Amino acid sequence: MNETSILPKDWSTKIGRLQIATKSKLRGQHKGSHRSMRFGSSLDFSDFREYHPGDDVRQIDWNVFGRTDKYFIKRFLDEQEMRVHILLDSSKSMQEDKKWLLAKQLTISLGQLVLGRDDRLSFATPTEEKVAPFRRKGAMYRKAFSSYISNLTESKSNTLFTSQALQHIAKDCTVLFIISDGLERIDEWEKILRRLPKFSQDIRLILVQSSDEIAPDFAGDLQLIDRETENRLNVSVSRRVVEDYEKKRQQHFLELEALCRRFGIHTLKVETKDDISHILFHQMIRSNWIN
Amino acid sequence: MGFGQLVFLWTAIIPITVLLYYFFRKKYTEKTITSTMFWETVMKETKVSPYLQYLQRNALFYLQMLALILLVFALLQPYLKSQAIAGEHIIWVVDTSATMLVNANGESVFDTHKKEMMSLSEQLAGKPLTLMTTGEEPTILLRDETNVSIIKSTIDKLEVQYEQENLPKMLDFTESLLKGKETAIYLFTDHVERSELPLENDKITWFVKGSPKNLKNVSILRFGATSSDKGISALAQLSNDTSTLQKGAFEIRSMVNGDLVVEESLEIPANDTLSLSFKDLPNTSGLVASLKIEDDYDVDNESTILLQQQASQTYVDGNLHQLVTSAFQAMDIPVSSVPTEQLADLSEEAIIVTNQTAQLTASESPVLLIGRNDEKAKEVTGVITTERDDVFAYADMKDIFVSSLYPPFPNYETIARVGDEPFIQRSEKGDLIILTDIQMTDWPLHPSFPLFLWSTREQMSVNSNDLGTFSPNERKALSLVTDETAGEWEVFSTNDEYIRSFENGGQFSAPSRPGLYIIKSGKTEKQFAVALQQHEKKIENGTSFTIGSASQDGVQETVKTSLVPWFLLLIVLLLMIEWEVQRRRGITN
Repeated sequence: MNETSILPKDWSTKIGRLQIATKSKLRGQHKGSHRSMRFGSSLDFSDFREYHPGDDVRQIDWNVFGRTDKYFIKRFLDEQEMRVHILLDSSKSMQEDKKWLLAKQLTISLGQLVLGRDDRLSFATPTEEKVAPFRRKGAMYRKAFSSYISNLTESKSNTLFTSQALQHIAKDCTVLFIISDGLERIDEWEKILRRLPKFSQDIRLILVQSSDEIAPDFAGDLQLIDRETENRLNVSVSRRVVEDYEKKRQQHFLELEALCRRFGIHTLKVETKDDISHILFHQMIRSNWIN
Repeated sequence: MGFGQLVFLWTAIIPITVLLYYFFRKKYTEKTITSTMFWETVMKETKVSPYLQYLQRNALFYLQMLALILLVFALLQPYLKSQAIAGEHIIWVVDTSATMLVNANGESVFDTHKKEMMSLSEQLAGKPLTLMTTGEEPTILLRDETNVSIIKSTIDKLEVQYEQENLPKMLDFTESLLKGKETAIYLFTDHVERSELPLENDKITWFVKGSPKNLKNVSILRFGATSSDKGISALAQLSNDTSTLQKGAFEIRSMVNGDLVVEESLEIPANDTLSLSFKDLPNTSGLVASLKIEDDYDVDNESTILLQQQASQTYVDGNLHQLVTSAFQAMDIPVSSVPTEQLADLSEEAIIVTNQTAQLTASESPVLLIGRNDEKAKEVTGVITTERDDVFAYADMKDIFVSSLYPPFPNYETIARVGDEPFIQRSEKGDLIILTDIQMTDWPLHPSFPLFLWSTREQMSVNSNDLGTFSPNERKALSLVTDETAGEWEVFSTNDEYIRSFENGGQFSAPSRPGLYIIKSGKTEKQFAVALQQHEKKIENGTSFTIGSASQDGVQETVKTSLVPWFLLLIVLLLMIEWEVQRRRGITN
């Protein structure tokens, strides 16, 4: 029900034909809809191999045996599931209305892409209360996921996202999506990014930014209160101060991106002013995240 | 409850400023943003060096510490010691009489006193000073003044007024200035006796600064002259106040052309007087006598005399109505009533008021004739018109009713008329004739009548060309009417130096310096002389002494100037800086 309020109409049909693109070879153990490099039971022919005792007798290609009198095993490529994990930063800095909405929209959209392909989706967000993480496979759970995300309660914890994130990441996932705003200290980020590659081969960091952060249009004397830490800071806004702020902000994100490159993590910056369809159909497709 | 120093109420400005500052301090509007991370780094960029940063971080601590330490100091009541004149209220009385011009050690006592005042003014230490000068009218030049530069410029402008110091008057005046505080009265004079000072008030300390001792003075004590047909006879009394025989010269010059009339060398015995008399001197309007002797006081070595002496007596004919005598008495003019028969035997220097027409020719004295005994009066009607004349200077004749008039004298000048008929006439000799009887008019009931009589007497008693001799700065109402074109009287010295001007005779005041003066209005010119009062011709050896409670502690006392207000000011300043620091940093950290 909430799905309609968060996402555009007929969203699931619109994104139905898209799927997550990845070069990651790490797959789940279960059967899925993605061709695997392993041999399996799909219809795609791979090669022939001489029969050795112990092989499945059912796999002997009897036609070849008829012609050559030798036992060959006909092998097919396997079709395996993809395991996608989405980690949503739900710290208070993310819970600014527009950012939070966009983050949830993104989570639902990505989740539906995964579930729609009968892949395994797991979702986690650092929360205080022990909520069972969402772990489902199959298109039938699409609705359930949507409502799960829509009803996500807002976190009241003040702990940093970077300090909690690692506990909420599933191991051995094909693709790992991290949705965050990146507004934490660069050294904190380094700590977590350094350890991420062992969780997955394909890590994607989506940085959600509100337009207020990008170009603050304040004026006068302001006491800025940090949503997360509740720090209060008196600032007399002048053009020079705003310029300094922008410089600092850009520098922070450049450093963060450099860090990500170092650890082979893909990044994508999205802004709240952009539409979810723009992000999905343009930004993500262009950067080959989905196809 | 009471307040010791209400003066410091002005410091209430400080808390009010802080309060205003509080009201108008920067108001920060709160705004919640996702992260202050970048803003913090932006704001931290202001930090400069680690040392400054340290200071910045601990500014509040240091400022508060400093403020508290200063407060401790302030409570210790620090003060600076300085020397100052004793007494809480200080009054300086400056004698400006002529005797202050006595030369002692190359400069006049007055200048010496001025120098002393200058140096004393340095030691006032913020105490209020009242400065006054002596004279017929004691003048307050400064009242409770604390500004040293104003005090100094006032001292600088002080000048000798030649007037007698009138010490009792000044002392009474000083009493009125006392405030019940410890008062130091400095008397800058030449000579004053201890017994002359009122010593009842034990809060007053008298500091008398007198002139030095052993001053030499030889003076012309008196100089008089009378003119007769044969010439002028003059009398001079010279006084030697020194204890040695004095030799010198005495000369008399004519005032008109400066011709030397008499020159005589003389010797005056110690502490004695010498009288000289001269006869048959050539006729002149005035004489100047001068004594050529080396002494310390020059002003009394010259004396001026104007010869036309004024008639002092006024005789009223017993036949005249009582109202005439009353009118003279109303103006404070002494009159004597004389029977008609004795009028002829009166001395020359008197003014005669009568109705005997014969007196006009019989007497050489000026005569005021009221009515005529030799003619009959005729009835008249009409408005009274007057000529522009000195006798009408104060008397307005408009509303007077005259029922009948005597026939006029044909050759006399008419100065007032009823309709076309002569009412008041003047003879060539200066006699005035009122052509009516007191009973025929309501004039005596008007205030103009005594004023007219006073003007008449003034004019008759004083020679029309000279006004007589005045004491320095003397104020006197004179019966003078200004020239129509000039509109005012101007006073010049004999050197044609402009002194002052006044609009009518009522405002006349004599110049201060002794000598001969000319008063002009248009083409009219009159002379008058200013002469020293007799008292100012005598020099007494002065002493300097101190009487009063403060005299035991000496002239000076140590004044503790409290530094507490300065400390408090510093503390307030620190508080303000603290506030600013706190405001910049925000209350929270």
